[in-house]
Amino acid sequence: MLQALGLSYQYSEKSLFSNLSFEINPGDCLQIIGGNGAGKTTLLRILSGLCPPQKGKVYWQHQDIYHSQLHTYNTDRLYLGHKLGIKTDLTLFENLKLHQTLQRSEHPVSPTELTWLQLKNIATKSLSAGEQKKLALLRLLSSSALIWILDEPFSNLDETGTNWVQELIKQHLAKKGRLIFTSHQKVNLTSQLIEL
Amino acid sequence: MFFLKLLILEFKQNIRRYNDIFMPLWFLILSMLIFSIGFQQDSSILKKTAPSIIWVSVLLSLLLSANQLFTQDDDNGFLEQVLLSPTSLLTFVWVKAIIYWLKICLPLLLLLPVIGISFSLSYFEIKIIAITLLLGTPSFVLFATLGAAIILRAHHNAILLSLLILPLCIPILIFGLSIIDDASCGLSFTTPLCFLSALLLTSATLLPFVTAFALRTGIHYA
Repeated sequence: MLQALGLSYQYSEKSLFSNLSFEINPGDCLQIIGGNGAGKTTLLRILSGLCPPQKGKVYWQHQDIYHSQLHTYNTDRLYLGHKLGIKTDLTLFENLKLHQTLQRSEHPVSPTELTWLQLKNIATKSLSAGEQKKLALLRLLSSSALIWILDEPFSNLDETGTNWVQELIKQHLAKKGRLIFTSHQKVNLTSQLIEL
Repeated sequence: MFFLKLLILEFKQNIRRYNDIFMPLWFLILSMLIFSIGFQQDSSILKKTAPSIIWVSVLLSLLLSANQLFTQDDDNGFLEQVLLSPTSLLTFVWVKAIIYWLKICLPLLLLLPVIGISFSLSYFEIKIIAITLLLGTPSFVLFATLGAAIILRAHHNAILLSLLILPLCIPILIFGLSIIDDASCGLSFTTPLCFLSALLLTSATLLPFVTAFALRTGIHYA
């Protein structure tokens, strides 16, 4: 269970959110909505372990993620932010291998799942924004993480790509996985909402 | 195994950015050329000061692109992915330091015989300079890695890095040049050699931890 207790964050003079509490159980899907600059990305960064909250705590399996060894949470959580973590000098396939090595993943992406990656040996810098996004999202396939934290997972994707990601999410939730995401688009997912 | 895989992929990425390899080499060659022209009147002074010129030029070439060590990984979000992955940040720091040494210092060391001959140094002198550089440059790289982590999101970071790192490199420079001095006078150079080795061991033991801490803190409180 992921539990957020009394989270508060202030940027300059502006309070992004205060005293925010919620919990996410197996199979739960949480969508965070709000306008530009409302603090959605900041909240996701706090929940992922990238940015400590100014007030409040985040617990994963009853352990504070900022005060305990993060190793368990690092294995159990997959975060995909605005920056995709793609090295443009490497090819698509090398990028995938790099992230599988980082995640110590034992489930390599199978060739059938890479059908759209026909040019897997080309440098990533020649890909469009949407293709780069798809490449980053391929990490979801090889991941055994229990909780996915995704910042705007549908941005830059065409309709086929959006449906593909929604299908992946549904499969993850059916396997009792958890999901926290932000999106400006209308998505076909049953989720709890937090509005900032 | 994970370390080796990361090392190979990082190496592949760096080898494709060959400009980064040639620039420090070109800088080193130019520095040597300028010193040779400067001391044209008295070649004995040039021969005497050649080890110092080589050491200082190697240090400056090494610092030339050190501020870029983590910049690309920070810009594309890879650094965040490392921080959030089961792979330790320490492993990543070691990979970056090893690749940086291979990319910048190894070509400089391979070029050393040519530089030595152009300065009319003997085979023995070239050998001693190579040994001292082999012991000194890894410490320089580890200090540069630490500096790059500290100034990651600072403005004008290249100048800041030099101001931060150059004073820390002075002891390495002193012991490295003492070895060459003692060896060229036919004296025993065991003491400065031990000190230089001790500096390398200390920096290899402590600096990657501090670098990893600096990177983590930089991301957490950016």
